[in-house]
Amino acid sequence: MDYETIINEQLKAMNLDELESIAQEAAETGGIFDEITVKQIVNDLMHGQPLFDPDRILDSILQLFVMEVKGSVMLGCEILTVCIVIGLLTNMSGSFGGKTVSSLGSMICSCVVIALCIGNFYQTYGYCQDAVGTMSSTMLILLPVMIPLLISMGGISSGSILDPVIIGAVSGFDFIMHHIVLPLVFLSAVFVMINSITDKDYVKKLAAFLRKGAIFIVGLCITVFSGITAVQGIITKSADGILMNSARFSIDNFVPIIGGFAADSLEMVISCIGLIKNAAGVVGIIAVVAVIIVPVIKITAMAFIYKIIAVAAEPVASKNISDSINELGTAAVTMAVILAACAMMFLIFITILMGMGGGSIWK
Amino acid sequence: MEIIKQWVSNLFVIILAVSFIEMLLPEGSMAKYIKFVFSLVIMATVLYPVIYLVQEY
Repeated sequence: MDYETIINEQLKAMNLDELESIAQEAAETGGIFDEITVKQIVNDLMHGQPLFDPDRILDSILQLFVMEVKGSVMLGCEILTVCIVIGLLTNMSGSFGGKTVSSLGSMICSCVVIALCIGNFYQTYGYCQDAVGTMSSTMLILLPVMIPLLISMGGISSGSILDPVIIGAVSGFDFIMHHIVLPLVFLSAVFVMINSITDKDYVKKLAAFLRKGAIFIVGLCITVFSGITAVQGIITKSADGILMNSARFSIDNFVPIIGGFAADSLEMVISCIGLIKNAAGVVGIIAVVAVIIVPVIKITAMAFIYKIIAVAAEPVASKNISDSINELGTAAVTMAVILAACAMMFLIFITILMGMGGGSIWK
Repeated sequence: MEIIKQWVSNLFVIILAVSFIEMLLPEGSMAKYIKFVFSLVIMATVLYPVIYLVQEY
């Protein structure tokens, strides 16, 4: 009985359809990764082949970014046109009879800019919410696949302790992102835009406070959740090591004659399951990255457009308008950073699960 | 959530209205005082969530 038969039998016995379908869906929407299955990864790993083609991935990321920027150019033109009108109104204030008329006109133009920007930013916010939701549902599909594999390779206490810890962390983080962090960033963008109506700063500090608060909450959550998981993982790993090693040594020494073979084959089966577990983890990582990469690129492209508009509007329009659009770009960047941090935390969870029990050697 | 939505829309409308009215004010000795009163109104609106939280808990 060689290792390939063991792996194939194990793969046949497992139900990986849901995980593979979510990875496939994520790969199709972005078009950045190929469709990938657990079996294919196991085969690639055993034959020493690379999993990705980095050139192709970089190419398609660049293509997606350029496409998104092109798609948002229309919005940029609209906002710039209104900004030029504002510039005209402020410079020609003398010819309209009174200063009041022209300043009322430029205020109405500011309102148009605000409406355009907020409408667009609301879309970005929607992408962000969706991406966080999809990412946590990917995690919740991946965990029921990986945890039983971890338990079947001897990680009984790791599996039973880490399962509720990670599921709790994922759902808690999802809730905090949906109901606190992302709305805070959105609110701060709204306040930044409100601030651009007048020359006087009414709510500038409030907007800055809300955005800093959102970043602080994300940092705190990531530290706490991944810290708890990492510590639990390290402790349970050593507990399982004792169990597995004593099982192996007792089979080796107490069963006469065939004990040595039995212990070795036990070790081989466990290594094979470990390989499948790590392949499932790789599929999960690819799914999470594929889910996150499209919204991150979209939001980064939006931020890029906002910054360009701010740069272009600075000479024509009033100072507060260009400042506000610049701040809006910063808010979009903040959203992208928060999404990336969220993905990083989920990747840490998967890596902790993958790192347990490489082969049969539980240390 | 509902309270925050209300707060943001109130703040937006009040700032918009205040800046319109400030523009249309006739230049006079009273204008300065009226502007000060308006900024007090905006401050009260900004502090609305704090007042709400203190009342609730």
